[in-house]
Amino acid sequence: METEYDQVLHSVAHVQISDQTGDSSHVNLEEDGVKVSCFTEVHDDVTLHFQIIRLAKQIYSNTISVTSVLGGTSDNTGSGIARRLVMKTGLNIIFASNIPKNNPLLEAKAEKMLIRKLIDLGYTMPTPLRAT
Amino acid sequence: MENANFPVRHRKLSLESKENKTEIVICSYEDHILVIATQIGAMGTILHARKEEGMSVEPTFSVSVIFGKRDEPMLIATARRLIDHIRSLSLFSSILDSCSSTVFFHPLLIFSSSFVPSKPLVLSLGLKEHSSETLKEIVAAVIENRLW
Repeated sequence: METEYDQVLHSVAHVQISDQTGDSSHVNLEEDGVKVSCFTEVHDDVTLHFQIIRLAKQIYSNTISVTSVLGGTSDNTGSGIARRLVMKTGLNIIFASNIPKNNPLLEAKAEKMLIRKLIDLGYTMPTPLRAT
Repeated sequence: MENANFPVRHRKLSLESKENKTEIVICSYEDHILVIATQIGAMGTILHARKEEGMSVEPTFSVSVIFGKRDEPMLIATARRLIDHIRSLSLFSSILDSCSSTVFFHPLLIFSSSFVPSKPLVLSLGLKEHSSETLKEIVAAVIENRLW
């Protein structure tokens, strides 16, 4: 039987970049400047705060390398989320998180919210890799 | 939902010079300070700096490159300058707090910095060149617009 966690994971995997980029043409990826976006979402009485710092330089790469530069836990949840974000969006991403451990549903929800926000802000690349 | 009371304060500024434009972002988290200074549109070299906890009167700092160029001493010096400033301000505000309800200065509170927790610093420098003039300008701008 599919759990709620599996349902959330499947919904994240099925977020289609091509269906959402209609409004992103106004974002000039060559534009200089740093953009800081902050937003808050509430899920099951848990408040999640997100901060996206977008830098101007974007490189599309067909290979994905993930490394932990600071902190990190033995379960590597951050690296999994970072890898999927890169696969979905085609961006170079430095991912920092502070999410309680042993809460995979919350992690999946946070990942889904972040992907949707990146799409809404128009930060995604036009030909991202498919998440597997 | 955009939240006007977002728990993380941040400040964004630009430094214009005839050769380069430097974008600076300063964020104050609960457990550290993040400073990004970029001329290349990318994070560049990332350094981590913190005050070492100890009983010595003189503070010591640990500064390390966690990503990027490891052979640029000026970058490490920049991080050390900023963590020293963070530590100094933390000590000063701690003294002010401790003196708010007392009528005399306790010598141990003034001369010991070991109990004062200052936030560690994550510094990102994505620069086209690492001249001392450029780094001094960045340090001055960050201190002027600090969030600690």
